Amino acid sequence: MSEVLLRAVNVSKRFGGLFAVDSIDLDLHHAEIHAVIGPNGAGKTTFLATLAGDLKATTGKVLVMGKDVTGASVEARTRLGVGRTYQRSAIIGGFSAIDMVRLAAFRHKASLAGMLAPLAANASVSELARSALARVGLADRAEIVADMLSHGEKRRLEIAAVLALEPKILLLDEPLAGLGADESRHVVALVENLKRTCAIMLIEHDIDTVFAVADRITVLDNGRVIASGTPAAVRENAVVQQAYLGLADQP
Amino acid sequence: MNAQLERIDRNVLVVCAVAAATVPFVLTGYEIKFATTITIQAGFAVAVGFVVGPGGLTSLGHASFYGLAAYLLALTAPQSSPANLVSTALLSIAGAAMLAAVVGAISIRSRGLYFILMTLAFGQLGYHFFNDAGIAGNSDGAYVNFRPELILPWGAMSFDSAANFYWLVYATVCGIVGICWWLRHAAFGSILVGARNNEERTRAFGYSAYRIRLVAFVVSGAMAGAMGYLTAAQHGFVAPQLLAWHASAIVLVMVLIGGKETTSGPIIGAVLLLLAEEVLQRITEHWLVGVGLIIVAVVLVAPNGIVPYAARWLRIGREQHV
Amino acid sequence: MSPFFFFIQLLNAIQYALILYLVASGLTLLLGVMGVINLAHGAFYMVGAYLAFAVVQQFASFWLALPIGLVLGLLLGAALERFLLSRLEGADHLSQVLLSFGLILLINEGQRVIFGNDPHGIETPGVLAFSMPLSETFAYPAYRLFVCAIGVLFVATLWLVMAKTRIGMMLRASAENRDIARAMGVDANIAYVGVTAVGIACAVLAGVIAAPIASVYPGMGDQVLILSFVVIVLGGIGSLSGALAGSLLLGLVDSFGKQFLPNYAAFLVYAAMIAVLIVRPQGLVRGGGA
Repeated sequence: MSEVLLRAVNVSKRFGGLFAVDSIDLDLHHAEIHAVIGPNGAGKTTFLATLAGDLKATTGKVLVMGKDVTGASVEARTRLGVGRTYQRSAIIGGFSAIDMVRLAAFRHKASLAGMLAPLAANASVSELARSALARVGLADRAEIVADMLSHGEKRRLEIAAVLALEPKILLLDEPLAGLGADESRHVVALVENLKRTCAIMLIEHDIDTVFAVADRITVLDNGRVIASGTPAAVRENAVVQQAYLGLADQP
Repeated sequence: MNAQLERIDRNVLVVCAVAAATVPFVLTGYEIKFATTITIQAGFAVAVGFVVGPGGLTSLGHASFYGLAAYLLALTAPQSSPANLVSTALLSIAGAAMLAAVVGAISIRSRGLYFILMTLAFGQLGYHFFNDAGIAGNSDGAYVNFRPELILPWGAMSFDSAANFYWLVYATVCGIVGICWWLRHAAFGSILVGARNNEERTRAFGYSAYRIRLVAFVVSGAMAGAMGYLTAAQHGFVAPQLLAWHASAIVLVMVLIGGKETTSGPIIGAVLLLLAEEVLQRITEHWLVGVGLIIVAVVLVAPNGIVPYAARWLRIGREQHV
Repeated sequence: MSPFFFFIQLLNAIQYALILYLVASGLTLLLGVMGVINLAHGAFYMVGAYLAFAVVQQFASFWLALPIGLVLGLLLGAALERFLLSRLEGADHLSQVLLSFGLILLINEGQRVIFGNDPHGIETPGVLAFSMPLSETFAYPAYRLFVCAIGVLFVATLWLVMAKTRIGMMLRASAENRDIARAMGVDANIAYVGVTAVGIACAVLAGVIAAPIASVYPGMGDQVLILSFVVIVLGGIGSLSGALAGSLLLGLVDSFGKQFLPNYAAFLVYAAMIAVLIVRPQGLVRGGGA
């Protein structure tokens, strides 16, 4: 079994009296896609937020590469190799597509001298940015201001930016939402390709895609894990069938 | 910033620099002094504009950095001979930078309204310190008896003449504008603006929004201090009003009028406001009414400032000719 | 220090605090319910004071200034919201700060145009121009007790309205979350005009009531404004009970500070505010949204 790059141990997140996330254990292994599915409101995005650092877990631990990051800031976790996309595409308004990706690419090449020079002047940064844009098929939209891109393009831009971070752990929150069939296929191929270099957590509603690409699936309901295992095991799981997958296969 | 606005910004800066360079040749003594005042305020406005615009931080307390530097000159200048320009200026700027570091470190942790109110509180703290504590004459203020002079290997260069002092101010402001432009267009500026436009996303790229803002705040505070130093040197007098929140608000007005998005905006704002005040003062003793009306009008009609407003207007004009 | 001396300082603190609360409550509602930062709030306090002066001069009656002040305050507040603040819907804080600053200049200078630069005093209204004896040697001005009584009445009324009426509930909901409030059927426009009108009216009335105690002078609104902001920051933006706590704290600091550390009273106020913000950025009483 490959290395565990991110480990969530008994993670809970409480808001007032409500447990949005309740005692979740989850491991992300290198070169694996671990899908997280569940009905709306199951706590998937909240859970991802505790892993990424936007929210701090109320109880439990989050470990990245063995380091305890439970209380660490978002930027600190990113520096350890975590990359994430948002449910609503988070692009930086006012920036052109390539400038936004350059900003991400600059992260690992940042130096004092680099900070004082224009972003576009750094050759290795620009190269990394362009290749990331090319991988998501946005090479010819590089100079367009991000706000002007279509929804699908914004999603792909976000992915390009995260690629430029060269992350070791990738947290994807519904990357296919709002994409057309072609774009979806493209993104799915991209994600499968990325598997080789990352540990990936994928929140998705498109069940067919999930079962096609995931190596491991965790099912959440009401903030708790109700099943976790290989796709085949999860498909057979009666609890999951009842709660989520529907009784379509029942006679 | 889009390419067109950037081009306009650069052009305006060049025009300002050239026009300002002609001042000692075409204006008389009194007018040169007025131009000096405008240039100092323009520099102050550019410094504040850097944190308000790209930084996205509305600071209601920047006058405290300006005023502290001014007071430091008054406190360190010898009573009966000119002060050393280099050493006193470095001290004043360092003092302003340190205060900005303290204020920034504490205030930048807060967001939005709380940040504004914290800077207001710190500014008032500074005002009351010099007004109540008995360190420098309280509300009577303090004097700088001689303008600082520059000690060169072959002798001392005095800035007593209006023209000489103007060149000192001009050079300093050019330096400030240069630093702001440079930082704005460097990776530093990209990170700062990224943090302003989408803090979540920029932090998710691994950047600390807090740290980049703090650095911008300290740099801005130091530049404001340089201008405070020069204003003390120009008038030979400092008073607690230099640090009061009204002073901070007025410089924000300059930034607003000219536009906070561009580096040249605050310069235009300072020039326009001070010229308007001068004109209004000759018309009525209640010229503040005019200033109030100008502010209200600009906020309602051109909240992004005159430079972008004019830029848009010019673009429209150009399209009609096509 | 005799107990009576202490008691008098305490009464002074309470009276000071209640006037401050009258001003700050309007300000915190504006901030909390509408997200608007109104620097001109202090200027309206000054309007109230000068109104009292003008009414006393014209009609030789102080009491008349109260209803006039109330009506004027409501009208000014409504006008402020309708003509200026509503245009700033969605604008950033810088615009609000500067618009209200422009208003301050207009109002301050307008006052100078009408009344000139000299400070004025107003005599305590006849019926209250005596001192209540507390002991053989100490007496306390009846008018100040009257102010305390008005203040307490105001606090009680405000609490009743906010806690027990539908309007109060809607305002509290709006302060918490504007979207939820809208979903509950709160008409934002009416709520905004109402809140602004009442808030400004409170500031004007505070000025009227304070006039016989403090003198009436140009720019008197500035100090009250800054202190109101300190109060709001201490108490938490949008929190009325927090504003009350903050006002009392400031009243005590001012009253006793003036006695023991006259030079540093003002300094202490701001230092306290910063200390609170460092330790508890959301205010002493509750977390406000910002």
